[in-house]
Amino acid sequence: MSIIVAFLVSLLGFTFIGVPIAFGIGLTSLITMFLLEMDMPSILARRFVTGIDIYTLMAIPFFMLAGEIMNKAGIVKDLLKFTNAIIGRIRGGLAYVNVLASMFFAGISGSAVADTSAIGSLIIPMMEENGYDKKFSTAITSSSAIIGVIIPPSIPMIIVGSIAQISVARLFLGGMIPGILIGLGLMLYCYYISKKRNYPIGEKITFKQFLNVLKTTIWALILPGIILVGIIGGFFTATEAGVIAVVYAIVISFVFYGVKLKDYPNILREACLNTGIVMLVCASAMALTWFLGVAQVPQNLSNFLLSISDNKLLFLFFINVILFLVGMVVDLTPALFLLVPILLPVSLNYGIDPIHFSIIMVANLSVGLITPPVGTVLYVATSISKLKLEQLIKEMLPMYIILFILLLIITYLPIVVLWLPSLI
Amino acid sequence: MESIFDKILSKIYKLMDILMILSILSLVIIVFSNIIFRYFGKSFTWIDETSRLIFVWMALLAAVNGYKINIHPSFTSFLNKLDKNKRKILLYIINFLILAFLIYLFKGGIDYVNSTKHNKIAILNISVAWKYLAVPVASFVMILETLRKFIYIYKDEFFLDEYEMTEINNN
Amino acid sequence: KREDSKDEITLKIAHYYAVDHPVNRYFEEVFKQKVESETNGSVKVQIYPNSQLGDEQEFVEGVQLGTVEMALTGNLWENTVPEFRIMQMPFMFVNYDHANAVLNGPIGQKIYEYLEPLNVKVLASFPNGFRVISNNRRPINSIDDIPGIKMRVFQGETIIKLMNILGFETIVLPISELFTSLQQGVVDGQDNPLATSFYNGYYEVQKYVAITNHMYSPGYIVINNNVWNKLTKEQQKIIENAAKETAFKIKEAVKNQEEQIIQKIEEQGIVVTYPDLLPFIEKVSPLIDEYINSHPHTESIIKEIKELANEYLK
Ligand code: NA
Ligand code: NA
Repeated sequence: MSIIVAFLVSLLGFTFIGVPIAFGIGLTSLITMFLLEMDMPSILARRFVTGIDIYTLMAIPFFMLAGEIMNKAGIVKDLLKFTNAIIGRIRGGLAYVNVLASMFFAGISGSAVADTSAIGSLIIPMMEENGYDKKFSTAITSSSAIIGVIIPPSIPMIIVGSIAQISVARLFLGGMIPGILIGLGLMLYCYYISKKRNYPIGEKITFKQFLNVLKTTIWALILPGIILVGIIGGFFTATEAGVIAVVYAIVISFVFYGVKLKDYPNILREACLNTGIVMLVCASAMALTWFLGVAQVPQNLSNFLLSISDNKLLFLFFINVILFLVGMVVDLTPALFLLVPILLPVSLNYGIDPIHFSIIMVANLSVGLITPPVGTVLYVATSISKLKLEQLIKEMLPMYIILFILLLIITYLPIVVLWLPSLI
Repeated sequence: MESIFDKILSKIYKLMDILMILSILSLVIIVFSNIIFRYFGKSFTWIDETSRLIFVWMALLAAVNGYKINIHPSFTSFLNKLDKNKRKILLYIINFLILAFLIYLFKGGIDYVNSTKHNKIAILNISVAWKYLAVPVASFVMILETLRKFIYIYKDEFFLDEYEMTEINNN
Repeated sequence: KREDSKDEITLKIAHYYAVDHPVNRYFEEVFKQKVESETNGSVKVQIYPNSQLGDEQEFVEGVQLGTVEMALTGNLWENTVPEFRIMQMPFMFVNYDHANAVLNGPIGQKIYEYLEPLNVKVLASFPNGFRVISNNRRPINSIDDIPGIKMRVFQGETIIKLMNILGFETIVLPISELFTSLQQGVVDGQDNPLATSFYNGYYEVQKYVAITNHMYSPGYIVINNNVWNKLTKEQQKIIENAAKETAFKIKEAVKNQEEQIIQKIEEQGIVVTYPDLLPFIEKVSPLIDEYINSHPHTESIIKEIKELANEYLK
């Protein structure tokens, strides 16, 4: 018990004063180690390697790289043109374009932050120009960006798959329908708010113009298809899907977008640096989970929860609320590393499918990316629009409610998650 | 004024930058050719071990390079609410904590490499130390960088958001 | 303070079996119970199942350093201590009792001595089972049915060579990808002990099983030497006996459940074949020769194992 308290206090304390999360987790494991009266810094070092030395995790740099190449090529501009051609003509068109473009970009990128910066930096100014409220534009950009980690590929799902030894391919498929549902849910809200605030109607375009847009965008739109078909058809694993995505991105960015060889050092560097950020958290979180394991925190928590109730629905609701709260103060990646090893075994005791539970965790915690005080997507979005976090909250509130309702659907209708993975 | 310390560090970073970029490039090539070769019914047993070895080094080199430019995400609202002097003191404390952790990590890494170096990686038949060495190397460079950050703080040249948040991409 | 803790010691045991796996249950119910009651609580046992303290490579290293006091390991030692490859030689043991007699008897002790420089002591050994081959291509009634079957292998030198020499195409895959890969046809087949394949659900996506027993899969109960030397003679005896008894009970259980598993999978519609193993044994014999050539000092040990086999062949 004292270990759990010390763990929570030091992790939150270090985070609060501004220690980078990865080091905060490392320091917490150091403190846990001392409390256990162990003097084994060598375990720290070994667990650092353990957190990285996993074949499946190699999918992370690959999808980072594929996303980076596509982004540098300027594919997002085409995606916006394309979605605008589909849906821009109705009232509040650009709001729908925002959500829909996020859904398409989600099929290329595995990261919500990448989604925010790629799409947000283009569409927030565009929406402002067209008479949309800046706060609303920033809020809808942030909310729809979390689709980036729900629709495959998804870096958080790669992480869950490798710590829990679940097939990443099945996790990817499990996120497909929930991701689309979140997109539709947000578009429904756009419909309501556009009517209410009388947001502008976009330009109509001719079928010929549409075909022109499609001609350039089609190549970017094919990539998610290749990834999905490859995984469903069993042609390659998730890691290999990542590398296929990279090679495909290199080819089309060269042929259709004129990305040159000399652009590559920077593209590769960015992908590496972004991978490094995730992997340092993975590494130090692995150190922490070892000491928490020695202290038998997972078993104790599991016994504690089971002693309260063995009702599956009650447990799931408890999880929804807890993860929502955790998500407010801990970012998605570290939260997964700390909680998956603890909660997944508990959920098995309640008879919940591990794929279903993993998707619940990712979806639930990804909402944490857009809730203050610690919400990376919010930071990025507000820095694009030069707004303060506090100014956004009022616009975000209804979206939180919608997302929470969608979370409940994902949680209590397992078929939404499990139908697609059951096909392979 | 650029000290010798700065010069040495910048040489180290330059080397690490090149190694990191070559690593991700070779990962792409290795894993991709494995798919191609498998299609033709060939498969190489060393792919898995080699790629993981490269990946461990790549990830830690990238983490160090990222540490230099302060891109590891942190919660800065509290820090930024403080007045200048208090902020400075807290920055000293934060970096002192990081330094303490890194020293433990470095020492642990050296110990671990020393006591397991006779263990072998299965197919490559080389010592596991080649993999584990990445930790003491990475923590050593980060220790040097932390020392330099103390100087920056002292000179009021330490900026948390020296690089825009939009560059940060941690999910 | 150190003085106080001397009369109470906690043995952390790391392993990778699931919580409800028979091996974990026997350790909770037999080993832990016996050690704690017979030492009057002076030795506490804390078992960490399900790779909670890391994967096999990690606790193989951890028990050398003493970061975990004890561990249940598989064949990973063979990477560092080539003498441990003897147990992985194809068709080395004729049945479970033969393997038990070797690994928990004087011959085993000779091999385990090679582990001493790593600061690790083997207390006893138990079987995970004999590995058998399953696939989706065709029933293997003889060695001629093998060519063209894509076989998943784990990252181990002996198994890769063995499968190649038998005529399989081999693909190295981590076990986490195995189920989906079988289902999707990335590979046609896999080899594991019957119980492992059954409980991991591999037979749900396989059509044919051939009882080849081509390789024995040992589990080792190991302890860090410094920890061992700190124990009193009496404690050592209690722990060693408890380990041997637990290993024996696991062996009996593994042996007895195989028939039931075969019956169950046949009911599921899986075709089980019993190919003539002599051509297999002949085909792989160069592997053993090759091994003896590069490790000549093991020849006498291998000879002893083969001689002992006669006692166990009915
Ligand atoms: Na995605
Ligand atoms: Na968006």
